[in-house]
Amino acid sequence: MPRILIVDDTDFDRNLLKNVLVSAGYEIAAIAAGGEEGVRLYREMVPDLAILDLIMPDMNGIETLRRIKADYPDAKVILCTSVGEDGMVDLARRLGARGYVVKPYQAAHILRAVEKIAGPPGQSSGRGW
Amino acid sequence: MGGTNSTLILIVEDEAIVAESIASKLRKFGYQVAGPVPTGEEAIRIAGEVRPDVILMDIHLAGMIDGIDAADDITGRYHIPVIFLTAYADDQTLERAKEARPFGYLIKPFRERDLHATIRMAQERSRLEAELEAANRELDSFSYSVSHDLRAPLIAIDGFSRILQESYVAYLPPDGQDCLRRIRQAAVTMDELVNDFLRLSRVTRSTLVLDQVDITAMATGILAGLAGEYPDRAVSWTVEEGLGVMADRSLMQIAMKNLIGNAWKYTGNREEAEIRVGKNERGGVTSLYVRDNGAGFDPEKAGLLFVPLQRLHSPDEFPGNGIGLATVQRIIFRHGGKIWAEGAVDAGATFSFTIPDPA
Repeated sequence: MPRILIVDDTDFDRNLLKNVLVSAGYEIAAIAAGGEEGVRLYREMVPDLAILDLIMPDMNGIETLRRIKADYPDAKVILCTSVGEDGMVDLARRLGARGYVVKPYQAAHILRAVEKIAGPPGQSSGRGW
Repeated sequence: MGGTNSTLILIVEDEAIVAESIASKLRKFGYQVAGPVPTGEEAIRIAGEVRPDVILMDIHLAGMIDGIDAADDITGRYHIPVIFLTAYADDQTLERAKEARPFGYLIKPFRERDLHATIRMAQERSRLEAELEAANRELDSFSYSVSHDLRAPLIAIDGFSRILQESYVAYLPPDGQDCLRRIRQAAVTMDELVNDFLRLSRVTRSTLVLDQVDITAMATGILAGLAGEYPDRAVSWTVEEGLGVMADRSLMQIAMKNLIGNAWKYTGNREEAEIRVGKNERGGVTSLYVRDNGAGFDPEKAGLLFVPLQRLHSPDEFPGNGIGLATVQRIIFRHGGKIWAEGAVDAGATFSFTIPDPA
């Protein structure tokens, strides 16, 4: 069962992501409200996938991605951007993100990206492939 | 007399004869009358149903709650101005009535003309308040979204220029490397600016949590922190004992950090820098101050100190973006206090503020 870390500074988006993922059958490894907490929880939990928001007040998603990748080069990360932040997709890919989701979130988009990268729910994808 | 007037007035009065007499006076001026209702409970219900333009509220009512509680409830739910009509004017009642933020207070018996004038003024003030509130809300959400939306392109500039620096810097001639360094420096500066704007807008939006705040301890901590951070600076600082206010702790921390940080910064050129945090009593009003013997400012331009992005010194002389004092002012205003600055060029600055005790 793929375990997922959610990192987002807004309550609303955190809950939305959690609800979508849990009801699809994924397991939530941890939820962080900021980039620094996200990096710390990643180290603690080593989840199968991390979903990072781009704009966060303490540490943005790109920097969070960079830190996670520095410690875990094989980490699977999805970055969430808003409409119009296209340059970010390329930047995230260069830094090793596996996928991206465009906000406002749509359940189908989230699940498609997650399944592509971490595998379907109820099936362990293994770690650090 | 008044002719036709579409203003709808709800009368809350438990004495039927008085209520009827007020109603007939209002009709003479051309007002539409709702009610009268005899209890606060009914006033709350009817206010929600008919949304009157103004409510005339007796304080002593027949029901379980009095007029002040009813007014408090209504003001919390709807933007409807309430005018108290009462025979009581003792200090205790006035003090309680104040809490319900009324738009007027008429003592019975009153003259018809006074009633009319008070209603007119209340309506106008209510309209202006609603306008101001809407404008403030718009401004807040504008500055929040600008700050938020500016960050995405900034992250891109920072991210791509960092890749350029880490992976391709060897391909750039020295002049190109210098350009790259400047781009990265500008991105950092802008990031700080955006963060400060976000902080400023958060100061306006956050809810105040009032608490007894020990300013002596807070100021001492901030100064000790600065002394540790800048061991090469020789600053002699004193903080008066027993300074305290009833205020929001985290906002006061931001305010004091800014004021003391400024004093620290603007004494940077002084051989013997001095910073003092203390209090003044003038005319029964206590103000706290942060004083330094630093670069000071031109008193004629004192008004610009608190305007966002306005700076009286060049960034080469003293770094900064001109948002700090605007933030401090907003924090003090949110507590119902005042802030002012005294100083002269090259003769130091004193920033004083008051935080009134919550009634």
